[in-house]
Amino acid sequence: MNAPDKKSLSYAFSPNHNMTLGTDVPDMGSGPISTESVTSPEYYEQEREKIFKRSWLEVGRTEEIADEGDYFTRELKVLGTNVIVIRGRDGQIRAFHNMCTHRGMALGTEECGNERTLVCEFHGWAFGLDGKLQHVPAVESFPGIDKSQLGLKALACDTWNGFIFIHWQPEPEQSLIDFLGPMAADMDGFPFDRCNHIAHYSSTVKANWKVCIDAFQEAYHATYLHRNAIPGAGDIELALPSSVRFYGPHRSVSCWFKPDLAPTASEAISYKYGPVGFSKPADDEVDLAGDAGLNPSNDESWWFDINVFNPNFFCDLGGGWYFTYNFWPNAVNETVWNMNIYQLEAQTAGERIVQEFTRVVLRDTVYEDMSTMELSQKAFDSGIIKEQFLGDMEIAVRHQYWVNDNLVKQG
Amino acid sequence: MSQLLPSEFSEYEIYCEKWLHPTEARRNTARINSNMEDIQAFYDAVMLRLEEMTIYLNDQPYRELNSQQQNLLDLILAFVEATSAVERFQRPIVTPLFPPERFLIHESTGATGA
Repeated sequence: MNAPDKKSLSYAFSPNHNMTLGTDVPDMGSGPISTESVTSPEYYEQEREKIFKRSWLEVGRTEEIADEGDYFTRELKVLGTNVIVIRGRDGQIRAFHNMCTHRGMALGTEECGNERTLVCEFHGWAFGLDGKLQHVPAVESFPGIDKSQLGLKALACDTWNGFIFIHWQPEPEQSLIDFLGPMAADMDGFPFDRCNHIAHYSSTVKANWKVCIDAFQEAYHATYLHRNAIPGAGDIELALPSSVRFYGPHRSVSCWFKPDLAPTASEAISYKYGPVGFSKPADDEVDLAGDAGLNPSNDESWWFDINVFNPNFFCDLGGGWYFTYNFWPNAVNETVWNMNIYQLEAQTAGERIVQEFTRVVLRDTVYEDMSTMELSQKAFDSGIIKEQFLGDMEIAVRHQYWVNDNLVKQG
Repeated sequence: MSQLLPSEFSEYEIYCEKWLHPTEARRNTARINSNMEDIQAFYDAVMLRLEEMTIYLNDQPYRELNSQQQNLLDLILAFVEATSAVERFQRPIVTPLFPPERFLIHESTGATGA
């Protein structure tokens, strides 16, 4: 796309809305994208070093470890480590490599739990919740041991709006808030702290992490792939975002809401008794969530915001609900996808039923996305398809390749 | 036999064995392990009185539903699964291109995650 001076773009297929350019659009070129970056093992190794070890990475929410001693572990193959994230007696959340400094055994062996101290099952070395080595059985048999030097190996850890991020470097050059930048500021005020976690889905997909991400950052595909999941979504005008924004490595896409998107027969009954749902934005009279953190470009017929924090975290916001994706690469052509959905607490059974529509429709819609990635990857791996061709509606896809290629080539 | 549902909706007792489950994962399993005939029958039956059921439940304090009322709500949530098969996909599963056993629905989402 070439639009250095434009504020919005319009197309004949979209008579009812334009695509607002909410920020400057970087010059990303307009040619096809080589598939090398999604098939080359060497390129992937560069990404691990230059992207994943130099970015803040979202690993969970503070509610998951609400009390002191609560922890969760994450197997992060892209970093070549298992990470334990734990809340200390001081309330602070810290992240450590889940490895005993004696002979490397894992300290937390469950996905989550609660411990007063972290005791290694191998020889009983004990670490405080702050990572300090507290106790070594038969310590006098270790000549010259300095326990103060043998604490758990830390990663940087910080939070934003309840989201826990880690950084490979114990003291990153860039703070979390600087890394998240203005896109996070656009989202501030959203009632994250009032939402309940209502769903967690995951799948291991045999496709490159960027191929997986691409399936979720444009609406063009929705008009065909999701024509069944969301009746009415087959209208090609839905392909064009109502606005897009670019903030350094991050990107944000607002989806256009088709004003006459008809509910299904069952939704039509249930929607009378619940104010908001995924395919039922709150009308003006019902303002459950307020509009804080939503619709940053003030689009007229706005549906929801796709907010992508490079490299691998989505936080998509709608009225009264939000969901996240985390994409964790296992290898150049394998990714673990996670989705979590959060909603404001229902006040009536009728609201609860509408929320179930949101959950099931979102789940079944992303399920359809699962069907595409591996087949695309197969085509790219075959060497027959050497390039991806992108339209302006897929500008976020282009941005992802442009951003990460620059990071890899930066050296 | 003890009643699982409020007596006002006793004709739906026959659907409880197959469809009444406390979690999303189990309700989805019930859906994808059913044939379209069974799903359609359940869908048609609930559609007849969905609005009445919703109004009935809305008249109760939401956080104080008794077990029969909670069962009725859970049965409606299973109905939402059925609507997806009937109104959207015209088959129990979403797509044959990705098997359900590879799409994990986790149950540990906290108190309101059912």
